[in-house]
Amino acid sequence: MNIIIRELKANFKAFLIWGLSLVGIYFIASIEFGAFAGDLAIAEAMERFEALFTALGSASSDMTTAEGFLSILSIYIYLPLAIYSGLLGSGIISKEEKDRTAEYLFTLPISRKKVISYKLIVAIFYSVLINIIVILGCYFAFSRFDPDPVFYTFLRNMSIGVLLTQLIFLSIGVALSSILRQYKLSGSITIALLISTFMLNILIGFVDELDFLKYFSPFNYFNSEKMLITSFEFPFLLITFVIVSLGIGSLLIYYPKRDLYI
Amino acid sequence: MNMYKFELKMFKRSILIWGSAISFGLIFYMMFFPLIMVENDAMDQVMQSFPEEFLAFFGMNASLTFTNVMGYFGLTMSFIYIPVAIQAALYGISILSVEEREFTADFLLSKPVSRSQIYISKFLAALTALVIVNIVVWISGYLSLLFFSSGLEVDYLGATLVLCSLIFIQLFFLTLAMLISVVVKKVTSVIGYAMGLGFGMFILSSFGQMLSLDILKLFTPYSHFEPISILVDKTFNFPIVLISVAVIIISFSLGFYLYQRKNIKAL
Repeated sequence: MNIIIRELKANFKAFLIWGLSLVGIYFIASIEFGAFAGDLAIAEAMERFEALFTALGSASSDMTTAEGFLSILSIYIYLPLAIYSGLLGSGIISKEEKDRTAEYLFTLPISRKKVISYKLIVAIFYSVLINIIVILGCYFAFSRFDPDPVFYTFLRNMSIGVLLTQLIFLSIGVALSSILRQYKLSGSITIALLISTFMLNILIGFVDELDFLKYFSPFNYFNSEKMLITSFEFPFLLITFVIVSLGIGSLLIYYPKRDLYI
Repeated sequence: MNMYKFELKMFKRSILIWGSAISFGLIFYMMFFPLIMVENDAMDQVMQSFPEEFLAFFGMNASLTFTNVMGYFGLTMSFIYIPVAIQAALYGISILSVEEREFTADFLLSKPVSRSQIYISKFLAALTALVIVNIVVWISGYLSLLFFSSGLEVDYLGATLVLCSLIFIQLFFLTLAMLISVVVKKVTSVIGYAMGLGFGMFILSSFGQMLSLDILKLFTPYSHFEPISILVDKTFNFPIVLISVAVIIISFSLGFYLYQRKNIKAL
């Protein structure tokens, strides 16, 4: 229990900075949204070009409604929260070795498995909490405009979608920092994976022929268009489940046996 | 000179990885241009009929859409800016603070070299590493324009201007990150700061562009050197570019000044 409290304290500042700046940025966006909320002229123009949008891959994104507007901006919820969770996951495990506190920690009368399970709990807790805070921030920022009930369903779905994306990168982060001999690289590799899958996701949107690559980009599994129509596809849920359980499994199996590199 | 050589040697593997990853990303993106330009004309006509603000929301420009090879190149470059910036920020944050984190500060600072020498040679080493990556990106940029333009006219002057802005982006993030690493008491997570800087600026610039909030554009070098507008105007966006230059000069000299006075923790 002490470890949980210690870790909660140690990671609180980063959590606060990430959470507040994200909420702030969405609040600014909502002010701008006020300019064309319910603007019929824009809505009409959008309707005329619906065929084009379908071609571009952003099907029902009507930016005069709160849900359409937010779904266009939503990649900036997915991306930073995934970065946060990935970094938190790899950092929370590898920092004992990095800061040379591993010797101290692992001589305490508590098993390694317990230590890392507590750390994992804290990482998941903060991932969920930042998710809730950002979604609540969006909720309050946009509820001023009296959006349709669709908006609230969209927010709820997106919250789940973002959380699953976060968990994927979190588990990749913890797995890498427990398997890699060079624990220092775990954060960089997690981020490299994240950036490349993010850029891949954009490319998939542009080029239809690359559709088969969608299984490789977690940003595509639960993207905002799918969340808008409440479609959690089974293959993606399965992949997520496999990645998360492999990641956490390898943490729990490999870390207790790990040679510490101090 | 010894410090410079040593630091550069430390960067060897990192240069290799970043250089190949970034140029791979660039070529990979450009590779798909021939597939996109198939519906060229129909798409262009539709695009022309959109109002300007509307296209800006999706990061496009009516006179240069992504069905044109230069438009697509601009789009690609605006994504290539991100890893380039993150690499520069990563080097900037880590290069000075690494001594404290690895407990080698005592060793280095007790040597008969002044702190300004340390600062300058570390800065130059990081800059050299970044310039090497920069050159690789130049080459892969030109090569991909050569091979994947599918017969469309390539504006090499515009491409050169866009590639020129890379060094400004790198300098901006390198000097700002070095300043940050001097100012904060202890750098706990190098990658956290670097990602916050690199992606935070990217989010600001995208928001500035999507929502036409010009004030946000003042803060981020990504918008100072926005590739599409450089390609359309065929020149840098002048008064605004100076903001980046000013930030580079100020953060370099402020970092230099503060590093002389920084209280560096001994073992």
